[in-house]
Amino acid sequence: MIALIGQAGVLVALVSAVALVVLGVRSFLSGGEQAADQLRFPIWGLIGGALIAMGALELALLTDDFSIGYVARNHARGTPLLFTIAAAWAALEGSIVLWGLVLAGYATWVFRRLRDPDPIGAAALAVIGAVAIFFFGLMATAANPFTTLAVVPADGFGANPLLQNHFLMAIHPPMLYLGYVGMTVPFAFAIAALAAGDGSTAWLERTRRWALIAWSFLTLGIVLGAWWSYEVLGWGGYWAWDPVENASFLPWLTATAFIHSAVVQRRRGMLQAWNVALVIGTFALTILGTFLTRSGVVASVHSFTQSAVGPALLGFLLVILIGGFGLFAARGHLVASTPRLDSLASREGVFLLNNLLLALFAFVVLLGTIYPLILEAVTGDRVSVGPPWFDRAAIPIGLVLIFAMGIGPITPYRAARLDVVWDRLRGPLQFTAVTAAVVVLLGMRSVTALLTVGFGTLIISAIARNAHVTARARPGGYLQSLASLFRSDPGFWGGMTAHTGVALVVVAIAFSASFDTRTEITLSPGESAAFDGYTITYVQPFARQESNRTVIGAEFILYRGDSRRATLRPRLNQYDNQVQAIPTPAVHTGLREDVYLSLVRIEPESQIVTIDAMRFPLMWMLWLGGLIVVGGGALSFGAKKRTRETVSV
Amino acid sequence: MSDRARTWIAAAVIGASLATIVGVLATDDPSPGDRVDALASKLRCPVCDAESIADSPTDLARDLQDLIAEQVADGWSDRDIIDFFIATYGERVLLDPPAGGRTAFLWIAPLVALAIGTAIVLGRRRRNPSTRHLTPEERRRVEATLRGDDP
Repeated sequence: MIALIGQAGVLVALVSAVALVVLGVRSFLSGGEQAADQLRFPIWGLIGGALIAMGALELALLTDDFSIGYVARNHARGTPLLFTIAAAWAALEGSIVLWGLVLAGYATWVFRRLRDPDPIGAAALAVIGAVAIFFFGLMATAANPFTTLAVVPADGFGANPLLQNHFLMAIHPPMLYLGYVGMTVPFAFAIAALAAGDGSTAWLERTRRWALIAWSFLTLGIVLGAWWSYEVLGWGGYWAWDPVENASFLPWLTATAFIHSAVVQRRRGMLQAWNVALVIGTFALTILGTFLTRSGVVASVHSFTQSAVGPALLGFLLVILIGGFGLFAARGHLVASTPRLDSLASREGVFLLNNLLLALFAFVVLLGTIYPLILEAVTGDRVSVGPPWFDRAAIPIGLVLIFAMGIGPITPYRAARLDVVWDRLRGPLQFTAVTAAVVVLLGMRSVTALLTVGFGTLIISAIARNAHVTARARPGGYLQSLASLFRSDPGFWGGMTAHTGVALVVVAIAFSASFDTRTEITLSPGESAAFDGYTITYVQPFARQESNRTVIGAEFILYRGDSRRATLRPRLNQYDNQVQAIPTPAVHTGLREDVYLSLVRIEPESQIVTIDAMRFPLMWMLWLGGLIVVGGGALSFGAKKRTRETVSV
Repeated sequence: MSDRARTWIAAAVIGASLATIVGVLATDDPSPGDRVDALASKLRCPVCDAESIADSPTDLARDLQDLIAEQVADGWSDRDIIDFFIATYGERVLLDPPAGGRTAFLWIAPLVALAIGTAIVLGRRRRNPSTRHLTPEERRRVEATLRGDDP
């Protein structure tokens, strides 16, 4: 019964998506008069059908309806509530349902912002409808989440243990999808502008919000993914250049380039065609990322044809690349801008450098991610492209990028005079040099890490100086001016907030990579061991049975000198459906550093425990920085409305 | 304080800091432990998908890390150790693909992309810049106008 309702929802959404394309194109061709009236029913059908499909899937999971194959494979009676809800996006078919729902949500939002007449908006909705046809078509065919089983099992298999071990797994995928799918909106408007041959910046102005929202969610998704990796995988890592991580990072890089080059287009009327190309590329990379993560191609090139989903996603990617860039090649000149750069030594010049580097960064990550796949497909040889290769390429690009972040915002538009830039940089540069010297004396030896800390400091101190000088020049009290900076130019100061977050992130990465320590410690109950200025005392082991897993763990007390800092309980979780236990490390977060204990084994007879003890400095700064980046995106998103309100008052 | 004095102070502060940094870095030696870590993070744990020997929590990775430590202590060079791992586990054990043979493209392509990108950016520059700095006479007139005086 639930399966039938879900199927019906998918079909309603699919038919509505087709209607949205047909009516959207018709409205576009007839000038977009009363587009909202003509497109109302397809939009209602799309969002309604998507809600029914998602609701049916959740209902099936919550009511243990194992007659549905997806529920039987990804859910078990003992699964806790949170992970039962999250099981809806724990595997391919369900994640496509979530994708469809998010896409329908964005379509509804675009619909509510339609104007009259609005040919571009109608065409954009037709493009979104075409994307929706693909995803709801997948749900109706190759990736049907509602296929039923002839023999209904008594209990399900349960989701992959890694996906039901930490609450972050319940929120990381939806955040990522809100980002991924949101990139469809700028893409749709860019295609619409190309189709209309509209050379104005209207599409850019209209999609600014969606681009920033999608970018903020994508950033949040990546930060939460890194945090999850740190909290679950048991070796303290947060980024490993894994293909799945790269898949989320690639569209982030091009979307970040777009956010910056969009500023240049709005301020100086340059880079219009490049912006269209970036938006098409970003959307294509979200589909590529879905293909990489959801087709099984990464594990082996030859496994992705086992289901029809892989070839379907690959085909859709080709359609976007050929269709999108074909349209761009044919009509790009209509939206191209004529102004050229006055001087490379200018704000526009730094923006161009930023775009060159971000595009290069994306190219390198893409190359390293897909080269092993292509090589294997063509020659059958298997090679690894791992963190050392990515680091070698990413570090120089990243260093120049953060240097550009330091000097870019204080470089004037058009042509910068050296004395102006020097006047603005003199203070920040001194602060940076002294900070770098102090950090060297503290023991940091890697030149890369030192440059990273230095440029991070430069970014923050240049922003602080800028805020100080701007606030002082404004009428009224200094503190009041400082507080009202955001209202004066939310776009710029939101961006500066995001820059501050990035600076904190890179400084934290440099510190945690330079000063991390790890030791294996073996202890009997009651014994203590010294670890980097701490004392770790092993109290006792413990074990407990939970509904979906068996947990064994050990209790430790962490001292620094004589002061007791924390009780730490690292655990190993044995799930019924997997031999390999999943660790839950115990982390004590301090202002200076995290102490991270990961349980390796407990001898059953003697209760002797082996743990990996690790120390990672300034980890809080990494997570805080990531969240500040997200906040910066959200602040500049709120920009426009706030300004208008101020004007109307 | 005059602008000139500020510049001199800035130069002194920056210079002294840089001298400290260079002095400390120049007198530093890598320890054997650093070598073990560096090697272990360049080699893939043979039973994992993509994790290095340094990062993987598996027992095999722990044993291999101990093996690398022994080899370093016995005086093997980095090259010897890496060759030993290639001979034992095949070339896929390298997380850092070699800059030749089938993976040469991985090294050339980013450089080519950088060259093309740089050429495109330089091509965006205006051939004859239309902006120029004001002459002293023009500057005087602009400032006078801004003050509200008659030029």
